[in-house]
Amino acid sequence: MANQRGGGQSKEYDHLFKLLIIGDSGVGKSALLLRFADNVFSTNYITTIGVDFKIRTLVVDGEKVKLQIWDTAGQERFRTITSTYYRGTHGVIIVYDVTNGESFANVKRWLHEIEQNCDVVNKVLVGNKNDDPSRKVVLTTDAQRYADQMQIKLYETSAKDNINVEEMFMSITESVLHTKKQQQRPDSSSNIVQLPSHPGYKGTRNPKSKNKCC
Amino acid sequence: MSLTSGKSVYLTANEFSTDDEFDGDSAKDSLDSGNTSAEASLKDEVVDSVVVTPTEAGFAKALQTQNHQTRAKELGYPEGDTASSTLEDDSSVGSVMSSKEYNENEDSSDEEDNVSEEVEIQEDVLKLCNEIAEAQQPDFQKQDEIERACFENLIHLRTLAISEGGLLANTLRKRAWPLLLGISPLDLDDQQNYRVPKYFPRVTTKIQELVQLDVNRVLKRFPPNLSETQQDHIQSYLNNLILAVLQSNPQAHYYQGFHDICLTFLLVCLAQNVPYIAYMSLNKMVETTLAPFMEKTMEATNEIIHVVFAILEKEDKALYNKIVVESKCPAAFCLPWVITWFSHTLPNDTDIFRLSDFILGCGDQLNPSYLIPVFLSAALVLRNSDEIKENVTDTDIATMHHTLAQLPLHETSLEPWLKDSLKLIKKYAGKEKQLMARAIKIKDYMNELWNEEPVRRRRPVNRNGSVIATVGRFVFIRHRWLTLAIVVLGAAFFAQRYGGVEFEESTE
Repeated sequence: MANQRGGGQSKEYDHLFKLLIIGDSGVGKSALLLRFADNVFSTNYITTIGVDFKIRTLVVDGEKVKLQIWDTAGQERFRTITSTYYRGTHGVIIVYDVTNGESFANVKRWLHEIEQNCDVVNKVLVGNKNDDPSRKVVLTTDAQRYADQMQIKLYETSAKDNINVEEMFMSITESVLHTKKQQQRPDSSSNIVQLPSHPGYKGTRNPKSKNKCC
Repeated sequence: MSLTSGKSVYLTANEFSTDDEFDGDSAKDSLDSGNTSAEASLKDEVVDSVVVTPTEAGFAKALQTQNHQTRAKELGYPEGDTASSTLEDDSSVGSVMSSKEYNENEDSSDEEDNVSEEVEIQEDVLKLCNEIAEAQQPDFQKQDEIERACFENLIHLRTLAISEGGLLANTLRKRAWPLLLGISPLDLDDQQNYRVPKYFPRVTTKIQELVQLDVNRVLKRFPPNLSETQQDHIQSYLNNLILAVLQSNPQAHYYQGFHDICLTFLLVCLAQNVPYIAYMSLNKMVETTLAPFMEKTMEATNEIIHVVFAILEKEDKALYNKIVVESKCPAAFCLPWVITWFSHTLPNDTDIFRLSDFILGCGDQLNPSYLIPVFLSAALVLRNSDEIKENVTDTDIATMHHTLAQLPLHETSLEPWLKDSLKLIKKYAGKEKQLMARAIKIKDYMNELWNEEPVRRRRPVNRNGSVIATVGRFVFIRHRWLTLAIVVLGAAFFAQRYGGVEFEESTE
């Protein structure tokens, strides 16, 4: 997107990527983001209403990558409004809660949501709250099988204990970078991942048709 | 103006709770006796005489127990006397005494263990809730004026709520807010309205779980210095308050953020021991100021937040161009402001109460009244116009969104902002429809802006079929019954015609 641009200053970063965190309410999306961006964890989180984002710059293979990570509201009814923020997304992080089977069952719907709103996009599946084996209900094997089936990488993380968070973000960043470089080779002009339409922005037709699909 | 009551009367968490002990018959009893909102538990040592609660506003309830042998009791407001006398008569400064009949609850023994603990918790909660809402330098003259206006003059009450400092204290708010919402004083005093549902069969498990999740995440908004038990206590109130409102309003769909509004009302009313007033107020709001946000989808809400842009366009075209045309920043930056009345964003509870005074006070200035927080949002952006124009050099969505979303945190004092808002509201009063129409146009325009970038996608998806497919869908899917009817009638017509001819011929 902003390959050689430095945001006003001299080469602040080599690449700017937009990542999106989605998943059911309460799975720990904001906690993951805060752990990654500010390296903090608190038990005093507030519900995310609408959208929010944080920035962090990583160095991957000697290249500076600026990540703009958008955190979205989990409740389904907000998608009408938040889906406008899906545009221009390079990578999506789909989060479920390993202690909550339903949040894992809903991953399918979130994947569908991305399909509808984004074009080619890198994805990673994340089972968060993986810090208390006694409360875990979504087995790694089941999650892994599903991830393989959908051809996405699986990470089991804990924002609380800071397990796998860095690795997960690193992995998605690498794959986004990889995709970008691949795209640049055959056709240097199409290095921007764009999205098609925005549901909810075409009257009521789209949500209706969505309901039929689901 | 703090509530310095002793250990006299405290509502238990049971009032709103769905605890197990409320199963079966006892549950039915408590529902039938209508004591949902007024029931109270007394500590076992309470003396068998009139209990005095010295509250300055004189609104708190005092209960009398006549049987000291009964240790923990649930008292139910009987149908006859009570509420009006409790709430109204001694509105002057001083203590209120009021005797109550009580319904002895068979199950009281089950709860007695919890009671003394609860009383202590409650006591501190009341004190803390009051402290956070107190004006720093009490303006006694205005307090008197507000109290009088509550009983005499709603229009004057509105002026007071809007004026600098607002309604000053929660003791006054708990009476004024429902009035400002349009609840009649008669309804407010009618104990029939105190019935708060305790069971929520109409609320789906999914929503109940979501509410619980949100309630678990409100700790940041609690008054400081609460113990964990006290926090749990308020949270259980909040949870049951939200569910009760949803139970009573099946048309209303819960949205994340509604819990913030509920908490604002609960903190005000809990401090005065009158949580049913929160319940009544919220019931009213669900039908009025919050109605569009609680529709089945957020379509209407999405249109409403675009009114901010419609106002910006009229007021400051350069700023509008910067935000909408150059940055293409979606309107969602003000979504939490509008649907939670800024309570999700502002860090200070006192400010949140003051802002609510203003919004409720302005209730009659705009029609529909749910646009008031939108005007507050617009005023906030306009106030920072120069800063946005100068400092935001990167015209991308992220930078703009971030800048705008942070604006409420930079306001050191609410009053100048509220003054600006009031001016703006007065200026556009009567032009709400035009603004709404323009907002929808802007929303569509932004949609076009976003779709423009990738050229090949200018046409939205739905057009995937040809004319034949469209006609086919129209005839065979959408109007299949009509089509079937036409075919059947047509067949009948032809059958009758040719059959009829044959019949005629044969008779000849």
